[in-house]
Amino acid sequence: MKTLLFILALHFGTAQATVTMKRAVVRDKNYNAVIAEVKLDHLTSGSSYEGKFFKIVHGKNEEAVRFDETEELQLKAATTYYHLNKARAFFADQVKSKYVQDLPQLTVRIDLTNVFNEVGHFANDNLNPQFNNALTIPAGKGYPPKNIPPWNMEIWFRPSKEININDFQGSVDRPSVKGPLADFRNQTHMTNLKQFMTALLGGSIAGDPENVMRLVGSSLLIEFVYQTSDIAAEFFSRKIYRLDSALVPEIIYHEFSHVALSNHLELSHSTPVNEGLADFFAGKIANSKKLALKIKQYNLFNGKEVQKKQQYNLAFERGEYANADFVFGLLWNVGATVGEDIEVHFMDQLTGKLNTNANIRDDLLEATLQACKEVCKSPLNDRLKLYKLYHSKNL
Amino acid sequence: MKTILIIATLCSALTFNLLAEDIAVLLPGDSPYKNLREADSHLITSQKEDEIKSLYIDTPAILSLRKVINDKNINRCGTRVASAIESVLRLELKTDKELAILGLRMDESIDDITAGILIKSIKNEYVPHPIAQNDLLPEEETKAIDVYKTKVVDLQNKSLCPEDSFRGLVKKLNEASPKFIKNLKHLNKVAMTKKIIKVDDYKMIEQMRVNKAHEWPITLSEYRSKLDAIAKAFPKRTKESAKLVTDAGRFRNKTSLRQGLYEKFNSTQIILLANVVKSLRKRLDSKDITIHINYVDQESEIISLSPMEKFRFILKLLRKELALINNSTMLNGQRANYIDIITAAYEVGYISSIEIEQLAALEDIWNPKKTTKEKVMVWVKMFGGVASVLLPPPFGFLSVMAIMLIDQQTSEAPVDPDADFNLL
Repeated sequence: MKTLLFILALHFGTAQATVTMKRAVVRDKNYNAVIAEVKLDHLTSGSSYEGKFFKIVHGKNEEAVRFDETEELQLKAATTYYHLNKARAFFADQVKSKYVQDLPQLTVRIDLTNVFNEVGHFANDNLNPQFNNALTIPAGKGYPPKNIPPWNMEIWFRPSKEININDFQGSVDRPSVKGPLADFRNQTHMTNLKQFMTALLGGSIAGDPENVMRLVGSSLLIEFVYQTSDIAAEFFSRKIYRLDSALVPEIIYHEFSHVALSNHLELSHSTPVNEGLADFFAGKIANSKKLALKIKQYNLFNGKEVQKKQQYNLAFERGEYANADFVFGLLWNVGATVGEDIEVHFMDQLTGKLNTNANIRDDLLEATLQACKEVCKSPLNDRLKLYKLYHSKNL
Repeated sequence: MKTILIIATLCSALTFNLLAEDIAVLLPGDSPYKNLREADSHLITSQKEDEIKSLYIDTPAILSLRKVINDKNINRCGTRVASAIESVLRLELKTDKELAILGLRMDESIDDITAGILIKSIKNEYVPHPIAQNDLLPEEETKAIDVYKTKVVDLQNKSLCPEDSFRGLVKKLNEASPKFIKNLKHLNKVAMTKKIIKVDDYKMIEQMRVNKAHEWPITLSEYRSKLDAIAKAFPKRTKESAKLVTDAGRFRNKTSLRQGLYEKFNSTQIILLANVVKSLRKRLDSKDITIHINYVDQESEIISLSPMEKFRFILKLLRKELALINNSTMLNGQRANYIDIITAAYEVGYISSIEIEQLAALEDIWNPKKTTKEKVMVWVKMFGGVASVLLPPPFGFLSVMAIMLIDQQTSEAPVDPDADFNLL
């Protein structure tokens, strides 16, 4: 009997140890996006992307994406599953978030185009289909009269769709070349004028007309380049945009961060502070100051980056700047200021002091200073460093 | 034979240990001048370090030196301590005496300020010289001798330190006429020949004159009084070490910030200055800061400051308080700057050595310093401007590009505290 039990235990152990390897988009050492075989942890199904913590479904389905689906769909399912587990492990193990540790299984929808509806879960299919983004939706009670069951928090990844730049109607910043060229143009004109005046006063102007022609010529040339620069920049710039959010690791981390922080920051709407915090944790999980960059296969939109010299502007408080990278950069610098060994714990404490409507200038700063009183190794010292940082950012 | 020797050694060691229990061993912490605030000594160079270690660390000599610095009969007078060190260790060369003092410093029995005073107190070789400057008129000489007469009692008072008695005399002479200091050697001699002062006192004040005791910024007794007063007011201070306030290398006069503080201010003034930082700290910890507008005929309006407005308000308040202190008579004409109040706060223990650097760096907010790179770039840019005229076309653009690159390198994003959204 003992031998039988031993054989059974051995068999069970071997079955449990089955490793599922799938192709997913990952970052290599140089932060390039590559497709590589990855191990999918915590799978509870042997035939689909359903695990202990996440279930990856296609669109409005409730069944997990199967291992025999198309390569394209599986790549998205494997990428989201792999990176979501990585993000969860970060919050559960490093941040030691009890909230994340106790989270039930999350449903993650890929290639879903429906708008979110607080009552009906999914808006009608023909209502303004969504592409090129991702979002985390709050749990809902459902609507029994219409047979809509309750749902838990979910992460939705939209499919990608090529969109012409002109369709953005100003929501994408078009890079202007004129600005940086203006100084060069002014300096050149001034230098040429100085040289012309020197030649004029020195009396050499009549003797060297070629020199004068060169001066005038160079001024005319720079003026021509300056005046036509934006037209040329537009001609050479990217015309088409698309984003396959389920295939960009940092977007997956960002969305899970929203879930992980949702005990304090509701998922009702985007604000610069809650997006910035999600960016910060996404950056920490990715171990990168850059988010969604160097991944042109799946993202032709602007990514985010910790900007060294970016100054605060009151407009950053507005909702349309929710996805600007000011707060991301600021929090990254705050983390470096309080110390890399405590920054994650610090940010967790900080989040506990915020609410969904927190603004940058008052609430976020006050929360960092309060969190520093509680968590920083040298509270006064580190708070002074934070004050200096904020002062340098024109806050 | 070996066994007998080992047993004998063990027995003697045991006997010594039993007896030694009754003998109080002096420790560095027993000294009234123990180092409580300073980092590594700026007086001990790397060349001297090994020599001092071999001579004084864990040697019987250091115990003798500890006894000297703990001797209540002499340890208020730098000259007496220096003489005692000289005689206890039978040292003749000035460099050896200096090393002994630095041995005490390395032992942490004294700090740099004490060590500096003691080194100054080592007797300089006195070479009697018959010629002494004298450009005094007879009536001036009489006036000076009258000053000596008033100070005879002090000079003979053995409870006073020789350097203090001498400095008292010089101060009085200086008040009577600045000319007297230039003729000090002559006046000392006249006072002795006219039997106003005794020969021993004459020798003593001549020695002090040679040692330039009247030019010392502070004497040991003065320092001790200030130390004692601060120790009494702040008895719970523990050992800290901050390089910022004790490093003298970067200052032209080789005086550390801490030394400068004790030279410039008395204990009450030091505490007064420290209190400015105490208030700063308290304000930084405050819950919030609000501005009340009290209307005549309606409810008050309360304006809350943002965290950074609060911070800048606190700094402005600090600068105002410092200006008020400087404008008052509390500092007896001395002028305190921002780093003085930080040093004072550190000295009394309001801020720790970890906090001092950041607090000191706050000055950058209202008085930002230009980096060397920025200073160099200003010159490079100037020469670039000249080059832009001298370079023939079409090469003028090279200097233009260079200037632009420099601008890009040096221009940090400008801090604009007067942005419309900031009240302060």
